[in-house]
Amino acid sequence: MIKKTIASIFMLFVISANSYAVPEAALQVQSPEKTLFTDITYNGSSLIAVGKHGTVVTSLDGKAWQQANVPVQVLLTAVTSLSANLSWACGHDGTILFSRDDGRNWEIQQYSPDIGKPCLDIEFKDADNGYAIGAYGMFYSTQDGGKTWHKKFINEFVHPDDKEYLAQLKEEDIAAYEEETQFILPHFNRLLLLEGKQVLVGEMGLVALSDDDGKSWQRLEEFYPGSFFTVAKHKNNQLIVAGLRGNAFVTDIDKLDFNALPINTTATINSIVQVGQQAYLLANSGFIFKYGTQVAQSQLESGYSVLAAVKLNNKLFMATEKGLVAWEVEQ
Amino acid sequence: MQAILSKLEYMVFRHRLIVVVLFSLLTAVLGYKATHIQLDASFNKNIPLQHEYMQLYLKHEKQFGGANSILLSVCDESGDIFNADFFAQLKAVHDQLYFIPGVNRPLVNSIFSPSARFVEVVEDGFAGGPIIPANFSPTEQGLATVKQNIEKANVVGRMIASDYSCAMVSAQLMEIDPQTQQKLDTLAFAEKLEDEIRKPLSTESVSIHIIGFAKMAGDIADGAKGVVFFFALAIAFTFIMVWLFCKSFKLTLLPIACSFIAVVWQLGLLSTLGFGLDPMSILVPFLVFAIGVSHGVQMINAIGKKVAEGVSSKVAAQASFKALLIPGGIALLSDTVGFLTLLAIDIGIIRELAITASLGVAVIIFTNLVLLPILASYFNSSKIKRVDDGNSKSNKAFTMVRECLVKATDKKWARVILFVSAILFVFGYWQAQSMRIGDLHAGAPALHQDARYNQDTFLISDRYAISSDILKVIVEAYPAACTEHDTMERISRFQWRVENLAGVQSAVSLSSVAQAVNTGYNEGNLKWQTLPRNSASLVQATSRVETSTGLLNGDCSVMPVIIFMQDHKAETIDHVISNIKLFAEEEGTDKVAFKLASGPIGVMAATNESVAAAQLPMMIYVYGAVIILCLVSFRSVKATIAVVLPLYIVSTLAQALMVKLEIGLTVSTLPVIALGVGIGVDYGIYILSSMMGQLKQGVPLTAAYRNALAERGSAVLFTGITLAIGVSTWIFSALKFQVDMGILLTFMFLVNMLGAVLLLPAIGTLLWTDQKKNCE
Repeated sequence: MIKKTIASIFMLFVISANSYAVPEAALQVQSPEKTLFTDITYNGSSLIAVGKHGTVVTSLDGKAWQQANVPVQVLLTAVTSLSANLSWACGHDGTILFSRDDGRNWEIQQYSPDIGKPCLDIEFKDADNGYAIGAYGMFYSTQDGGKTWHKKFINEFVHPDDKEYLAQLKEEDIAAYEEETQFILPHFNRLLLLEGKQVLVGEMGLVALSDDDGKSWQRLEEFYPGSFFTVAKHKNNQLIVAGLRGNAFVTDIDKLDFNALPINTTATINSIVQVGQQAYLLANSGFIFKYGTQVAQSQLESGYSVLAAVKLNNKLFMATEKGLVAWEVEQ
Repeated sequence: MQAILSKLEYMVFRHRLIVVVLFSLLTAVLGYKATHIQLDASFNKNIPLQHEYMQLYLKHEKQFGGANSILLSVCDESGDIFNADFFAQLKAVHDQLYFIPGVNRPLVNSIFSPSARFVEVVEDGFAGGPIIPANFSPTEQGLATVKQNIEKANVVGRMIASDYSCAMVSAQLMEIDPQTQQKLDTLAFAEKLEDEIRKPLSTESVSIHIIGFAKMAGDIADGAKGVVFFFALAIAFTFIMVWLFCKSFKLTLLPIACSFIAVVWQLGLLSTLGFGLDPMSILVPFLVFAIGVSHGVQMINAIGKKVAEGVSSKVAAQASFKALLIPGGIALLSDTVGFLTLLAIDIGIIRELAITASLGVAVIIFTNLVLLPILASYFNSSKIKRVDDGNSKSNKAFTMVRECLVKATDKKWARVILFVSAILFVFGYWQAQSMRIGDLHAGAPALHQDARYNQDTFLISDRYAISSDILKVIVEAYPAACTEHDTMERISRFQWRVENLAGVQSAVSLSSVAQAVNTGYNEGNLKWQTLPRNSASLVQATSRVETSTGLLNGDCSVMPVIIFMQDHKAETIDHVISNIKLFAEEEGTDKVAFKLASGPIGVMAATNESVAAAQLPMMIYVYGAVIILCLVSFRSVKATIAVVLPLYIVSTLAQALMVKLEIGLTVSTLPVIALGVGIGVDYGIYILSSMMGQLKQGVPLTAAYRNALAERGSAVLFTGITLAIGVSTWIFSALKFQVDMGILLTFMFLVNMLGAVLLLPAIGTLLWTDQKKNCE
C-alpha cells in the first residue's frame, strides 16, 4: 500500500514534470560554429556537427557552416547519417531527432526530460534498425527508422546479487521495479556496429559484445576499472577501446585479449577516427595519439579538447569544446 | 543703467589706489593658495552616480568588486614563461602589488594567489591543489608541474597568456581605504606602480605591462604636466603679438599680466574651495588666460585709441572702462552662466569643470575689466600714444582689411556670405548627425596610439582572452535561485546569446561554471557539459563554487554574468548593450531579472548614456543663457539673433569637425561645445554693442559697421588670430587629448572670429533693411 502511494506520487511527479518541459527551438546565432561540439559525421554530401544549445551546423565543404533548424535547445551528444535523407541525432533529456534533408531541418522523434537521462550515442544499421544508448544503462532500439523507440533494460549487466530481487519486484510492483532499475546500470558511452557483432563500452570498465543485434549481451571481464568513452575497429581485425586519462587498449577481435597502448599522457580519450591503416585517438586538451603499430603524440596549438572527428579531403574536421577545427592529416 | 555705470566708474577710479592694493593683497593670498593646488583624479568622479546602471553598480560593489581594476601583465621576452627568473619576478610583482595601499588585498589575483587552484578528474573522483604547489622550486621538474597545473586549472587566456609568453597579476582598487578612511590618491598610486613595480622589477628578459584606470590617469597626468610648457609658449607668443599690436611694452604687459592674475585667482579659489585640478581639465586655466587676453586687448585698444585722441591716460582708461564694462561684462557673464549650466550634468568631472571654468571666467571681469583700466590710468599717456598714430603701414593694411569686411554689409556680398554659410551649416549639420558618443578607438583615447599605455593595452588584448573591458550583467533572483533548473537555464541561454554578439570575446557565470562542474562530476566527459535537471545534482554542481569567485552571493540570489569584450569603442558598447537589453527582456521573469550593468564597460555605458542625455539640455542651457543676457543688454531681438546665429553655425561646424577627426563625445569632450560658445560670444558682442548705439541713432548699417570695426575690429581680428596660433602649438603635445583640443579650439577661435566679422554684418543686412533704406 505504502509502496503504491509512493509510486503514484512518483507518477504524479513524472506527469507534472512532463507538463512544464515543452521543448523550445534552438536559437539562431551569429557564430554557431564556435560552440561546444560533441560529434560530427559525413554522409557523402554534407558534414553535420551537433553540440550545445541544440546547435546543429552543416557544411558542404567544411568552410562555410550553416545553422540548422532544431526544435530543442538541449546539449546534443551524437549524430549519425546513412545518407542525405536519413540522419539522426540525440542528446540530453532523452532527445532523439531526425532529419530527411541533409541535416538542414530536424524533427523530434523522442523528447523526455522527465527521465533525466542523456542519450550519449546513436547508431543505425540501416534505414529501419537503430539504437540509442546513454546514461545509467539507457538503451533504446527501433525497427521503423525511429518512428517508435523501444526501451530495453539490459538485465545481463545487473550484479548477480540483485538479479533475483529485481525479478521478484518486477512481478510484484512494476512501478517500484521501474524506479529501482532507473539508475542501477552503468553509463553506456559508445556503441559500435560491426558485421554480425556489436560492441558496447561504458562506465566502470564496461565492454560488452552482442552477436544477435543487441538482443542479448555478454560483458567482458574487467581489465580496467575506469570509463571507456569510445570503441573502434582498427585495420581489419583489431579493436581499440579507449577512455579516461589516456587509457587505451587494443586486441584482435577474435581473441579479445586487450593490451594497453603505451600512452604517457593522462588526457581522456573521447573518440577514435580511422584514416587508412592509422587510428587517431582524439583526447582532451587537444591531444591526438596516432596509432598504427606504434603511438605518436601531437597536440592542437589551441589545446581545445577534441570530442570527435571525421575525415574529408585529407583533413580531419574536429568537433572540439570551442568549435569546429580543421586539421591537416599527414599522409 | 548709465547712471549706475557712472557711479561705479566714479567709485572705482576715485579710490583707485585702494582698489590696486586690494587686488594686490588678494593676488598674494590666492597666489599662495594656488601653489597648493594638486592634480587630482578619481574613478568615481568620472561616473554618473545617479544613473540606473551605477546605482546597481554601487549596490553590489561590496560583494562583486568595483570597476576600478588594474592589470599587470608580466611578460618574458623569450616568449616562454617557464624559467626560474620569470617566476621570481612574477612572484615579486604579485607581492609588491599586494602591499601597495589602495589595493583590495583579497582580490589580488595571479597564479601565486591562494585561490588559484586546479581540479582534475581521476578514476575515483576529483583531485586538486594549488597551481603553485607549496613545495614549489623553480627547477625543470617544478616548472613542468606548474605548467600541467595551469592547463588543468583552465586559466590560460586569463591568468596566463594564450601563448604562454606572459602571466597576469590583477587587482581591484578601493575608492576609500577601509583602515585609514582616506580617499584613494589615484595619481600617487599610479606613481607607485611605476616606482615600486615597473622600474625595480623589470629586467632584460622580463617586461611589465600595466593597464587600468589608475595607470591611465597617471599617464595622462604626466602628459598634462607638459601643459606648463605649452602655457609658457603661448604666453610668450601672445606677448610678442600684443607688443606688435600696440608697440608699447608697458601696454603689452597689461593684458598678459591681468590675464595671468585671473589664472592665479582661479587656481587659488579652486584650492581654497577644496578642489584639485583634474588632468583632463588642465586646459581650462589656459582657456581662461586666452579669454582674458581677448578682453584685455579690447581694453588696451580702446584706451590707446582714446589717448590718440589726445586725452590723458586716466581719462582714457575711465572712458574705456565705462564703454567696455557692459559688453565685456555681458560676454563674460554669458560665459560664466554657460559654464555653470554644466552643473546640471550629473558627472563629477563635468561639474568640476563647470566650477573651474565659470570661476575662471568670472574673475576676468575683475582683473581685465576693472584692474586693467585702473593700472592703465597710471601710465604716462605719451607712452601709450604710439598705439594709433594713424599713418603706420599696419594701419593702412588694417584699413584695407576693414574696407573688405565692410563689403559684407553690401547686399550682393551679404547674399554670397549667407549662401555659403547656409551650405556650410547644412553640411555641418548633416555631418554632426553622425557624431558618436563614447570612445571611438581601442585603448585610452586621451593618449596617443603609440603611447606606452596603449601599446600595453594592445599587447594584453592580443595575448589574453580577456582584457579590462569587462561588462557585468547582474542577475537578481530569489534565495537559492541557483538550485532551480529553469533559472539557471535562463542564465545559460542569456550567456550563450551574449557570447554570440560581435565584440564579445567570452563570458562566464555561475551557470557556465556549474556546467563545467557537472562535467567534472561525470568524469570530465564534455557530453555532460549542461545543467542537471534535478535539483540535487544542481546543488552539487553549484555548491562547489565559492562566493570569492564573484559569481554568486551567499544565498545565490544574486549572480553576475561577467562578459569580456574585445574593446570599449562606442559602437561595440552600443551594439552589445542594446542587444543585452533585448535579451534581458526576453529571458527575464517576475522572479529573475537581468540587470545592467557593472564592470568598467558598465560604467562606460552609463557614462555614454548620460552624455547622450546631457547633450541637448546642455546646448539649451548654454544658448539660453547667452540669449537671455543678449536680450537683457541689447534689448533687441534682432541683435540677439545677429550674435547667436553665427555662434550656432560655428558650433555645429565644430561638431562636424569632431566627427571628421574621429573624436567621440565623452565626458572629457562634451564641455568643448560649451567652451566654444564661451569663446565665440565675445567677438560678436563687442562688435555689435558698438554698432547698436549707432543703429539706434539711425546711422546706416554699413557706416555703423565701419565705425565698429574701426573702434574694435582690429582687436577682434588680432585676438582671434593670436589665440588660434597659440593653441595650434598643442598639436605637438604628448597627449592625444590635448592635440584634439588644440585643433578644435584653433578652429573655434578662428571661425568664430570670421563669424563675427563676416556673417554677423551679413545677417545684419537682413535684419536692419528698413533702416538702411530709410537712410539711403
